[in-house]
Amino acid sequence: MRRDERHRARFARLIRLYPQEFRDQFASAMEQTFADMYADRQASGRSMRTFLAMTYLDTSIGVVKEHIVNGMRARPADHPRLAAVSGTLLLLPFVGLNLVVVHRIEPIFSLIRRGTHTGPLEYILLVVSLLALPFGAAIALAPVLPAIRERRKIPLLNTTVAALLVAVFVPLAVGFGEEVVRCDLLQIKGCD
Amino acid sequence: MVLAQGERHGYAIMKQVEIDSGGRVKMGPGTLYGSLKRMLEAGLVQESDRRDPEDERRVYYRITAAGQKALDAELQRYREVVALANRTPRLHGEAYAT
Repeated sequence: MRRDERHRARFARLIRLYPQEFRDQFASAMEQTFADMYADRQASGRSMRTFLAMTYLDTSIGVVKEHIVNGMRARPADHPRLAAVSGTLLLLPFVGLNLVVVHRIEPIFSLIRRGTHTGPLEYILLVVSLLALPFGAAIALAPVLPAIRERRKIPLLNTTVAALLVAVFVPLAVGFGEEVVRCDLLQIKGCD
Repeated sequence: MVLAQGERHGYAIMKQVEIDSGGRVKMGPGTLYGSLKRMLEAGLVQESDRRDPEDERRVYYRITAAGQKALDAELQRYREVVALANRTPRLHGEAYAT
């Protein structure tokens, strides 16, 4: 294989790292552009090494950028597994908060509880981490509704994750709500 | 701005950018096609029907009416910034009166 062909083949391999949609739209035009650039550079007699390094670097940055842009645009409904994982991740703040409180993990424990009773910061964190659970369930369920509508196979993993998050949320929310009413609103003595 | 001068394919855009910027801006294919993708999505440029008889892979792009409008607005903004700088003594190279 000639040197220029080898470089073109290497560039074509690099382009394969772009997201599918980008490749479908621009791959052949990019290969042609590279061939034009290569021929011009060769004719100019200037360093090919610098040219190749800069072009590969620019294209590699482009690959990373396009994947980031694609990831930011991704709708949960189009990516069932990603939606299930994202939903599960929203369980982590609640688990983390409970670990800190139950095992009194310092210095976070002293930060969120200043005194013997639940402080305002702990309340806020508890409410936020509790609300993250139904939010996570909604994200996990996002691909399920279109699947039902379009009579496709329902993603079991997403349904399981959503059910788990709801199963954790409902009793906790009821218990927490009851405690807030008894202790903070009615101020019943010894309600803790 | 390059496409406001006429239809061009990818490599021609890169070369024109380099010429217009006096060699200060050199684009690689990753930067160029990433920008083109975003401009196509925004409706600022579009693919032209023109094809290169030498190589079908060369796609020509042209500016759209919306693209021309956005370019005019951006140039107007630059003119206003320059006018403001010219009216500001310190930025214009004059010392403030004490």
